[in-house]
Parts: sequence; C-alpha cells; structure tokens
Amino acid sequence: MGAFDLLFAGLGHLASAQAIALILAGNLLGIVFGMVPGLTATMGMAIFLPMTFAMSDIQGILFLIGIYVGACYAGSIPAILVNIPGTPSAIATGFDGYRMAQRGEGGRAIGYATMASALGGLFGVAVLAFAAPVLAGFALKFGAQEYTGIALLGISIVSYISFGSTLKGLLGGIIGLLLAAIGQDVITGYPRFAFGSKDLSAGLEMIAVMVGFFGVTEVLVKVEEQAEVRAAFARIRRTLPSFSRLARMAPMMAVSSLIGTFIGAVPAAGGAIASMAAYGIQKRFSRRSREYGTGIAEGVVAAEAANNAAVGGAFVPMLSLGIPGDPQTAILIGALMINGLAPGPMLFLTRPDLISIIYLGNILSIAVFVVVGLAGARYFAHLIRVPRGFLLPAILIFCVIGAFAIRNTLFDVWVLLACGLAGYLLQKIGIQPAPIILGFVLGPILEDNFRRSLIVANGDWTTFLTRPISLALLQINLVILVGPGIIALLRRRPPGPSSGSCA
Amino acid sequence: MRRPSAIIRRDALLTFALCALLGGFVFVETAGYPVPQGQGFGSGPAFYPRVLAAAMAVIGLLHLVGGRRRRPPETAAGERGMERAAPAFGRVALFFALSLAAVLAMPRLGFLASGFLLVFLTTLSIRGVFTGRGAAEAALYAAGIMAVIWAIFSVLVGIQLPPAALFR
Repeated sequence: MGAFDLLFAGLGHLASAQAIALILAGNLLGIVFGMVPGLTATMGMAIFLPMTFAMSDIQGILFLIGIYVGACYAGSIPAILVNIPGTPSAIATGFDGYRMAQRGEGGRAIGYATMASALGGLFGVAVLAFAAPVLAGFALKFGAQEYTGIALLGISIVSYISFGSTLKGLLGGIIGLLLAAIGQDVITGYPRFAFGSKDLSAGLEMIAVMVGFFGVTEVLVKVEEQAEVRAAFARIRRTLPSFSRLARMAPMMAVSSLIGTFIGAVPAAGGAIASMAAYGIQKRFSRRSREYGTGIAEGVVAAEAANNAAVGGAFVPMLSLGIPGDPQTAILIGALMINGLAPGPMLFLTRPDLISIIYLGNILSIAVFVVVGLAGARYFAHLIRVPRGFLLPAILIFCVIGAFAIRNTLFDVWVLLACGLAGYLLQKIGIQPAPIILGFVLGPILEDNFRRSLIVANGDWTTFLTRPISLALLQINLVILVGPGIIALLRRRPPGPSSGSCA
Repeated sequence: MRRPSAIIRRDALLTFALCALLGGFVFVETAGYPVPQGQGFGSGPAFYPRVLAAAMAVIGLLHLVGGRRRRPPETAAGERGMERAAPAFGRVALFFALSLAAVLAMPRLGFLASGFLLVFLTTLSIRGVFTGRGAAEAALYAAGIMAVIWAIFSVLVGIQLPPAALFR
C-alpha cells in the first residue's frame, strides 16, 4: 500500500460520534496532564491505559493518542505563564514565552505556541506517513539476529540519553530486562523467579509495572518535594497570533520541525531533547540571535514546532521496528499488546486500518488542541494552581484502580506499589524509570530473538557477526556505549613533552 | 602537607551494593534451573538471566572504580563543609504506609470504602491540615473522587470493583 492509501485506509472508523468523542476526551485529559506541573503525558497515558480495555483496539489507540498529543502541546502554557514547564518538552518554550508573558503578551505567546505545535505536529505526521512504510519494508527482511541488535540498540540509546550517567541508564535497562524475565521461560516454559507462586509464574503485568514506575514513583517524588505553584499570572487576553508574522517564520518552523522529527525518531530521545536542540540551533543561526531569551515569538515557535514534530518522529521506530521511540510510545505498544497485536512491520500488512488511524488520530488531535487551546487557554490556565494535597491522592487511587482493572486481581496492585517504591528508591541513586520501562518492554523481544538466534545456530555466537546488518547494529551499540567513555579517558591523559609548554 | 585520601562516593557504593545483591540473587536462584540437553548453548531458562546478572556485576564494578574521589581538605575549623539537607523520607514513608494499609484492607472493606480511606488519609497527610474543617474538606473530596471512579470504572467501563468481605 502506498503512503496516501495508508493515510486514508482507516477513514471509515472515524465517521462515528464515538471516535470523535474519544479524541476530544483524550485531548482534554492530555491538556490537563500537560498543563499541571508535575503531571506528564506518560503518567496520563499510563493511568488511563486500563480504561482502553472496554474499547476496541482502534478506539483505545485514538484515546491514548489524544492524551499524548494534547499533553505535549499543553506543557507550553504553564511554561509561558509562570515559567514552570508542564512537561519536560516545554522547557525551552519558557525561555522566551515567560518573558513575553511578563510584558503582557502571554495570550499571544500561547497563540504562537499553539500554531507552531500544530504545524510541527502535522510535519511530523507527514514524515511518519512516508518514512515508516519504507523502514518497515526494510525491516521485514530482518531475522532474529537483527532484531536482537535492534532491541539492544534501544537499550543502548536510552542509556546514553538518560539523565545522569550512561552506566546508570544501562543498569536501569538491565533491571527492566530482569523484570521481564519473571514468569514462564519463553522457550522451555519453566517458571523463573516464581517462588511457587501462580501469580508470579504468569509474569508481571505490563500495565501494573508501567503505571507503578511512571505513576506511583512520580507521586512519591512529588510528596517528598511538597512545593506548590503559588505564582500568580496576568489575565490572558488575546490568544490569536499574527498570521503574517507566522508566515514569515515558516522556513524557521520547517527546520525546527525537521530537527524535532529526526530526534523524535531516535529511540528514547523524546520531545525535551528535540525542543532544546531546535531552540539552540535556531538561536545559533538566526539573524536575531542576540534577542533569543529576551521574549521573542521566534523562540517560542522554534521550541514548540520541534517538540510536537517529535511526536510523529517517535512513531517511526514504533511502527516500523516495534521498538518505542519514547516512554509514551512504549505505553502505546502496551496498548497494542493488550489487544493481541504485535507492533512492528507486519502491522502494515495485517492492519493497515490501524496504521491509518494512528496517522489520522494525530491529525485530528492537532485540530482539537488548536481549537481548545486558542479558545480555552484562559480557563485551563487555572489548573496550574490545583493544590498537590488534592492532586496526588487522586492520581494514586486512579493508579490503584487502573492496576486492579487489568485482571481483577489484587496481585497487580501489589506489583504496582512495589514498582512505585522501587522506582522512587532507584531514583535516589540516579536510576530513572524510563530505561527500566524500555528494558521491560524490549525484554521479551530481546530474549526471544537472542535465544532463537543461538538455538538455530546451534550455540554458535558468531551468528551475530556473520550477518552484515546484525554486525553493523552491534558496532553501533558498541560505539554508543563505549565511545563517550573512551573520549573522556583520552581527554584526561596528561599532555606529552612537545605539546606547547613554555621552555 | 598531607595528601588527601581517595574515598568512594556514597551513590557509587550503593549502586555497587545493588548490583552485587541483585546479581548474586539471580545466580543463586537460577542455580537450580534445569539445563536442557542436546539443544545447544543458550537454550536453558537460566542462561539469559545469568547474562544479565553478569552485565550487572560488570556495571557495579565500573561504578565502584569510577566512584572514587578525593576527600576534600579540612578547613581551619576542622569542618568538611555544609552537609546536604536530609531528604523528607518521613513524609513519603507515611504516604506509602497509608497506601499499603488501604490496599491490605481492601478485601475486608471493599474497594470503595478502602479507597475512600486511602484518599482521605493521604490528603490529610500531604496538606498537613488536621482541623475539623480540613478533615471535612478531605472527606468530601475523597467521597467525590470515589464517586467519579465508581461512575467511570464500574458503570462506564464495566469493571467489578472488589467487594467487601465484611458485609457478606
């Protein structure tokens, strides 16, 4: 199927009030989660993932995409109004957005952020629609050895990009892989780490683990911080931006969107890195370079176009290779697996309607947040001030019911709480939840393909080295993991006798 | 002048301890797993977890080696400088203990009653307002939240919430 055929294959599913209502509901929830500092898109998707049980696979995906896209956009609003980003991807937006708000132009800044997010998001979807099928076609030729390399690549990249050290990120990934190993061995069926428990023999439920690490851990961290957002903000008046000025920024938006999409496609990179990179590059090469950071619309537009373009980019590895582009797409992979679907290149052949829904869901969600954002920003803004004393217990109880709802067993609630506590304690030594969850999601893919490769090759390790793509992937993994350490070591070596010391 | 001695950072020690404990546990636990015969290298259930545990051990050692730093010289008054403020574990411990208690009570009291207690008690603990008015606000809020949850999950989604054994 061509890119355009794929784009419209699922159009029929959208011709229902239910589908539109789910996109709207998802978007509104996403805006709430994006706007309130301390809540994130990942948390919102994790908490509401169990609700998708009652929906069809298409409805569930539409709902979750609505939350994802809405939250990525809405994080810019508190960044502009009170200089506290609602989501990590809005950090760069505040550099200029807050300065504009201080001059009484908060509404305009929100308008520019909204339109830049929309255009960047559409750019990301366009790249996704053309790039994903090409990459998927290539990936259909992959064997078990190549999939082992790709799964390892996901772990390596998330380790490298993790906040803190690469080693800590790698350790988090390995912890996730070990958690995924609990339960029946995929090849022999032997129960591992079960200790005689039937519940553990079945393995840990993905949603309970995700909600635990992304939801409960964050709640515990926020309980410890106990800082309230007390900043006042000026009344928001006009939000519609100047379209002629926006048109003059079109080339700059295109470049930011390209940067955002490319970085979003790198597994585990995400919108935060995309928006910071785009802001930095635009600031470096712009004619108004010195004015960045003083409150110019270009600063807001550069960051927001990139962070929403990264959403489209994150879907590329998810759809074409079956590996998550960021924690949010890891949750979407969980949603697909709940419905018995294996994410990856085969989906293009078996479920083109679902692929189309992902494209169209993104586009519709963008349309929703443009309308809701421009019309409703002045009302939604008050959400910023919701006291944590009310917010955190509500999030916790939603996490608990969400975990219970999966299999109607309290065991999953215990898993939720254990993962939440483990995530909180691991953060204290610098291990973040994202590598753990990516390891957990990639664990079955890695183990299955790794062991199958060895069994088929009768235990011959060189099977990973004799296939060119597999070898290339292993080399890339090595460079990512070991390269920065070697460079740092070389920089620390003392200079030789002829290196410029005065005689 | 005395040379400053090298010490190991606390987080490097903790990371090493985590790797040693977890890795050691994996090796001990998988020691009793069966080894299938005639299926080639890497086919048994213990193989993959042991590869991960070995990787973890290497990372732990690298952390230990890389975590060495020089002890800062003492000041004239013999102090080592400002200590970081202790994290607020008490608040987190109380919050988590209340959550555990509510989930333990769930089979007896049912989800709605224990959920109400969970939200009520944790709201009080975070807000730190224990007056009559504060308690009334927390109770009203908890009741509202449980009503919303019942409406969404029980009515809309159709999930049967855990019933109370106490009232059977």
